[in-house]
Amino acid sequence: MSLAELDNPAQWDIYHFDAVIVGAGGAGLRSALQLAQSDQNVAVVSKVFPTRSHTVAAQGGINAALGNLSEDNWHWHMYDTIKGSDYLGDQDAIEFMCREAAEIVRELEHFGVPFSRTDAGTIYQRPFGGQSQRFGKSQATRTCAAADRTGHAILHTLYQQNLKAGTTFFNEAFAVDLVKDAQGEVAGLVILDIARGKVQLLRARSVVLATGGACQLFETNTNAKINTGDGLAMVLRAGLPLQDMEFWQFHPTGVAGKGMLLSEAARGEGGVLRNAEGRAFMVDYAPNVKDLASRDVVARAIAVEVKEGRGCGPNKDHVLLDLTHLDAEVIKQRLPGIRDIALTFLGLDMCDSPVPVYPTAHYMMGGIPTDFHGRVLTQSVQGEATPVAGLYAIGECACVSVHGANRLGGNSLLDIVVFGRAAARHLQAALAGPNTRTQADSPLDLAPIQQRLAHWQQAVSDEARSEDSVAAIRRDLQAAMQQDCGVFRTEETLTQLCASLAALQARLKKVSLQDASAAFNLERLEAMELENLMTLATATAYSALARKESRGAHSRMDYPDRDDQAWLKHSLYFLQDHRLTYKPVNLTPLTVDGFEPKARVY
Amino acid sequence: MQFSIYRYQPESHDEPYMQSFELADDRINDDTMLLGALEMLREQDPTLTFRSSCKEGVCGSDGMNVNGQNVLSCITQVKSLPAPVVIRPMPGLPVIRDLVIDMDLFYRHYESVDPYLQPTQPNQTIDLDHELLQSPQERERLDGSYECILCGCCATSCPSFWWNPDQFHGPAALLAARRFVIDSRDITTRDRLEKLDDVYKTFRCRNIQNCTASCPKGLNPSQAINELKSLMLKKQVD
Amino acid sequence: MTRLLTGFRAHLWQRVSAVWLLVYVPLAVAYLAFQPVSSHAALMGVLSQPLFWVASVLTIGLLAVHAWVGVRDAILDYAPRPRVGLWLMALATMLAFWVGFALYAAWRILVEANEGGLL
Ligand SMILES: Cc1cc2nc3c(=O)[nH]c(=O)nc-3n(C[C@H](O)[C@H](O)[C@H](O)COP(=O)(O)OP(=O)(O)OC[C@H]3O[C@@H](n4cnc5c(N)ncnc54)[C@H](O)[C@@H]3O)c2cc1C
Repeated sequence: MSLAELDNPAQWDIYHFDAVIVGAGGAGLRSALQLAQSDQNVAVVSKVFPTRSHTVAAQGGINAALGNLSEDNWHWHMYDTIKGSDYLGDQDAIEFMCREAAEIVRELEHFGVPFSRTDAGTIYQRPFGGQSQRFGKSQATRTCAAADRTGHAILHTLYQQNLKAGTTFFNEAFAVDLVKDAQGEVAGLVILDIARGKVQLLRARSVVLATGGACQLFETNTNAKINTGDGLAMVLRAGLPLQDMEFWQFHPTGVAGKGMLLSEAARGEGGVLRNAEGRAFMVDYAPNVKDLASRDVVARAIAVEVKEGRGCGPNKDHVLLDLTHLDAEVIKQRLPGIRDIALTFLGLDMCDSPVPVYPTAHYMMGGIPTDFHGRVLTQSVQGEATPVAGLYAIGECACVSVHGANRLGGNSLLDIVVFGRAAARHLQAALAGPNTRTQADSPLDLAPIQQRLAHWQQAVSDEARSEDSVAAIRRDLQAAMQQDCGVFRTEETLTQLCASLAALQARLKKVSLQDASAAFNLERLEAMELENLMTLATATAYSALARKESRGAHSRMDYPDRDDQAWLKHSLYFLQDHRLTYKPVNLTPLTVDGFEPKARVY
Repeated sequence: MQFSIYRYQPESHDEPYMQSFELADDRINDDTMLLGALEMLREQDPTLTFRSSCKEGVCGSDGMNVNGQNVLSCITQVKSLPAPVVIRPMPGLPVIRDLVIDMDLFYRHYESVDPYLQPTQPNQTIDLDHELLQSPQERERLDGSYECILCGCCATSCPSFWWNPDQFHGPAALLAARRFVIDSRDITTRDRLEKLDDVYKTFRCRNIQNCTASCPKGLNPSQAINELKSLMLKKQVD
Repeated sequence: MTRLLTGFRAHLWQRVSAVWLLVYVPLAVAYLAFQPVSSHAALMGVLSQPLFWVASVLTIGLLAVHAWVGVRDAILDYAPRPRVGLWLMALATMLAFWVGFALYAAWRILVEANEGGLL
């Protein structure tokens, strides 16, 4: 698209919808399916073909207290989730999610998900970390699995159901930014058709953000290249806050040095972690549940083992995940996908050799603040949570918050379908009512978006290659985040990080591009993604620096304890002046008694 | 190491051409995947264009033709390839730019086999208090067909698909078709088989087996197609 | 014309006819090889043996089916789409001629055998 065209929105392709969903992962597709079944005019935008969304990579399973293998109920699930969240999760939302779980998982089964089966023909479930029966008494078996390809099974099934429902898709379309009308209300969004390089305007009464996570911020991570947190950055640029951005989950068992995930299912099926002495060390950190402690606990334990010199390998920089005592048939049947990963990337067969693992950035607990209807919340001047008209967020990019300071394995797939559906139901009701907001032809404020697009259009330089490049800045950003904002943080590393980020930001402003094409211009896309990552890095650094306690995945070496007195509250970060405000945690569930914060022992 | 890569830059060149690239050997380790190497080459020339996402062979974005074989670059070890490594877009579909092809037709075939479970009559409500029961043996039959990642390596290496890309469903779509035909929960088996019973849709398959040879997930579409044919026989006998 | 005997039925008929041909051809060759044929009339006699004659007429039909399915497959695979109809028409015409001629020959064999008092 030429600058002249960019300057003249009348030349853009313009579409009108009742609602637009940004993201075709599990969250976006579940939501789209609900809306497609009503008469609303809805479209889904995704920067990759839907089944390439990163939900496809989820391995272990989805939690629901079906009780197919051992006694279970949603109340225990709720307790575990709250305890797992280190009491930062909102208990109303957690109750809502755990109560919906059994029904929504069965619904997925009816949609066609090829779950593994028990001998009785019901859905197979496996134990996962942080799960218990009777409020912490004994290990529960709650994670519903389709071998170790649960995410693939769910994502493909949801896409298939959307094909059946006739959902409209804009595939390989990159959402650039939210569009507001003259009143400052959300009125749609601008997208870039990647194949043709054309800018398009989607006008809509409502926008649902479902753009997934952003672990591309870190050097080693389990995420896809596309997980750059675009929706989150769009929200910040729209002047709205992000919540709890200091909480990033490091998964204990990433392939050491590379980052690919070896699912918690490996430990659920009986795998153990060993240090250089061959000792199954988790007993020293979680005497009761050992390897099935919550992820933050296990990740820290591994980091401590390595730090104290008990790491394996020539550089003593990892520990081993050992499944060799399990029946090879069990591994082949229940964990075929991760056995493949170890074979491909390490050349090791888990059936007869332990594999090197180290914590790897995996999941963001923070995100766009919402209520449990998926409505995006901001804070009024009086400090009250107020919904933003016409804007919803669901899935990993949202912070409802059901995961608080640490997510339990198997709870994210649940989160994305539960709140994907809930948001769609709320939206359906809202759309059925009269349109009190944005008119189809009201004037829009497109200037900031035009400026941003024009900047990257003009950044192309024919001159001899500049020293700097998008790839180089991205690498340095990932290294800085890994170094200063990893499993352990301190005042010093975080202050250092804020300074590094400012410098990186300055480089990004100046960097030039070499690709002038309109069609499939990846360099330009990566530049915009990097802008988004940079914004989120800053949100993380400032939120983490401010939180002077250790809670869940946020471990401050200089403040090693949880401090409920001062910090039992959610952080809200605004882009403008890096302003931080806070909001209380919900401790009053919908129908049952709340769980008071207690010391967290596994 | 030498690479020779197909370039098609429609905005600046009328014709596609092959471009040579060189990557220092010390940057290639035993565990370097082709995608990693391509990313290094992209730093030399940021206009080099290819799709990629998950980096671990589950999203199916980065199918390409390497030394004549369709592969996913993210799970192909560079060291395993004889140099020069010749990389082209997967054959048989239009090229958008460099290694990026237009997979529309491929997706349309997938859509046209009704790739979704139909466990109930259209107006029947579903009972969400219970799952549809399926024995482990019945479930096991789905192994080998539900794992498809729609990368297109099979269809774009299939001569029958090259010959009739708009009419022959191709291996991936037929694999998906089989997945629903054999699912014990689906009640539309007969209709599905009837719909597939067509000189073009299914019966262009000539058992060439390129699909099976090129599937990065180790699936066997060729066998699936034969199974569909024998299921049609069984249906006639029943 | 593309749709004349298609899909699974074509597939099945092609296999059935192939099996038939596989059985018929060696048996027919063996049968003919062991018959002393000294004259035209004797040949008519051999060819009009009821079992052999019926099997041969059946073969004419099955060979036509086999050729139709097989050659049509090749046409569908290789011929440019706009010309597929033309090619199929040509194939059908050829096969029709061939079947007509073969049936006529079979009938003539019966007639001649009859005239020679061989039946
Ligand atoms: C390796 C791995 C294993 C996991 N295993 C489990 C597990 O076993 N159990 C569990 O509960 N959780 C698991 N998780 C977590 C869980 O899979 C994710 O949190 C969840 O799938 C996120 O779903 P989503 O729909 O929010 O986002 P995604 O699936 O990431 O989808 C994001 C969508 O947004 C689109 N998008 C993003 N930006 C833009 C843009 N700018 N324009 C247009 N479209 C855009 C993308 O194209 C994509 O369609 C795992 C995660 C990983 C990485």
